[in-house]
Amino acid sequence: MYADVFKGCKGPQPNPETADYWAAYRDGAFVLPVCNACSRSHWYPRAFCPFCHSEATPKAASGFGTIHTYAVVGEGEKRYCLAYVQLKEGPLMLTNLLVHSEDSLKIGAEVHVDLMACENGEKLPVFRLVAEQLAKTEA
Amino acid sequence: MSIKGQACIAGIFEHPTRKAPDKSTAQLHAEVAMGAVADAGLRLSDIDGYFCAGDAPGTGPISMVDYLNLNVRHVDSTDTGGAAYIQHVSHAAQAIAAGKCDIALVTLAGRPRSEGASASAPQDPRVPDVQWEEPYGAMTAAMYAMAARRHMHIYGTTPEDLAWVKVAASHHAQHNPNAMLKKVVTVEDVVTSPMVANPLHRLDCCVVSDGGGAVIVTRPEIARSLNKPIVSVAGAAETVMGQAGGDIELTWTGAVRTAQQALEEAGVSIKDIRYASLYDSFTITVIMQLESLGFCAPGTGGKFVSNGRLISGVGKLAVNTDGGGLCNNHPAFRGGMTKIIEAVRQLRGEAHPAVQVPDLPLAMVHGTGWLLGSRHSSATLILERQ
Repeated sequence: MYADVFKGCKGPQPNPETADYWAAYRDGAFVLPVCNACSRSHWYPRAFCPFCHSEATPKAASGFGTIHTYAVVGEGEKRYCLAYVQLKEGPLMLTNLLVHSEDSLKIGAEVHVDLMACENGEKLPVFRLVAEQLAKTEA
Repeated sequence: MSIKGQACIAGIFEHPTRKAPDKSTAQLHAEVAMGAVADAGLRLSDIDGYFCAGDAPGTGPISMVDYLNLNVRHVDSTDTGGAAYIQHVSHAAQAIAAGKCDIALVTLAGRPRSEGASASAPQDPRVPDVQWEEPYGAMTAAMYAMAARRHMHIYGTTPEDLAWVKVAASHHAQHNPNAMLKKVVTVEDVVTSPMVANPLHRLDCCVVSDGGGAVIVTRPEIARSLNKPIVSVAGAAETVMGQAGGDIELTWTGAVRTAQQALEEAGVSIKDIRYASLYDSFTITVIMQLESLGFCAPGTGGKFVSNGRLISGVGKLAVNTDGGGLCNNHPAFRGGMTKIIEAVRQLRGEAHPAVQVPDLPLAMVHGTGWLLGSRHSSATLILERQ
């Protein structure tokens, strides 16, 4: 593993506004907020659309995106990759990338979501490189 | 109505310490306050307006006003991270113009080195973005590193371009007896220093220092009765910029908005600015601000800073002639106060002779508080010698 997820946090702390999102992730469903009025997706999830301020609700999402930018932090086992992923549905999402090889880490590379279990029982959306996933299945 | 010419910075003081294990945080606030009033030729009892930010212990200004035993009719504890003090000068000018205050004191002080504090402490879970960012290890240097990586990808900015910002700062800091890092460094030194968050090396990051500073802002009639060259507030603007619901390019900052507004209020052009104090939490911060402020076109910031062009006397724009946060001082993780102070020194003709810009009528001060790459504050001040 070239870069892993960040291991210094027990997990996210949901609140009443975001409970439905974290519940969906715990159930293995990657959802994004979608506006009931303008249909636009945003990130990070709010109860309302930050563009038109109508109500927004969680909807199933593709889980696909591309790397917009990244930063590799730390050394050895503690090394993790912070990144912004441009989701297929539009918004930019802060996340971690799970990267097997440094050569795969490129802006524009296709990624797909993985819901990773946290110490506190929540599941956190992180992303894997599609190219590395394909290589694994072909191997 | 504008604030142009309605207020002056009449007193400045940067605490000489960079490590203060033998003082309390409140005590450092008091020392910088006393230093600034002494510089102005005033007394603490003359102060009727007090401004502070999150480094001041207590709920807003309350404990500090009590501790300093001030008699105030205006207070403001706007906290936008390191840019706050730049906004405080603007807010003080507005209060003075409105007749709410005559002599304002702004203080900053802290002891992160002596307290072993970290810039990335656990955050308040009620802040709406925290649950979506903290679990991923979104620490400060990593956020700036992502902005740098994006800038390199789109514009071809190189690690050597970033390094030149530190090199220039070190050339200035060598003349500053109080600077934390006084040794002149080379591009090679910077790019071979250990990686903190790729692509930012240790020398791409500002120092962590104890200490602080203070300024006095007052109405022009009072400034004219004192013993220092007159430095007038000509223009100011501020904004907060976030990720716009996930629809943002990370290569520009709120300076795009604030520069235009501040310059318009001052009635001057960016081309008129030959000295600027630019927030330098990281080398990339300076490059992005130069572009966003309009000193150079988007993407050309790397070229603008290369070959030492930010060094006083080398290029058309001298930047951070005290050595900046990168080499001199970035007290309590907040760099805005020292930026104001060096700009005032330059306009008064009080900068070190080796770095003093000759015949300087105007200076720009710009701060980027909190985090590029997520959400930040931008604050611009235009100061004028009268």
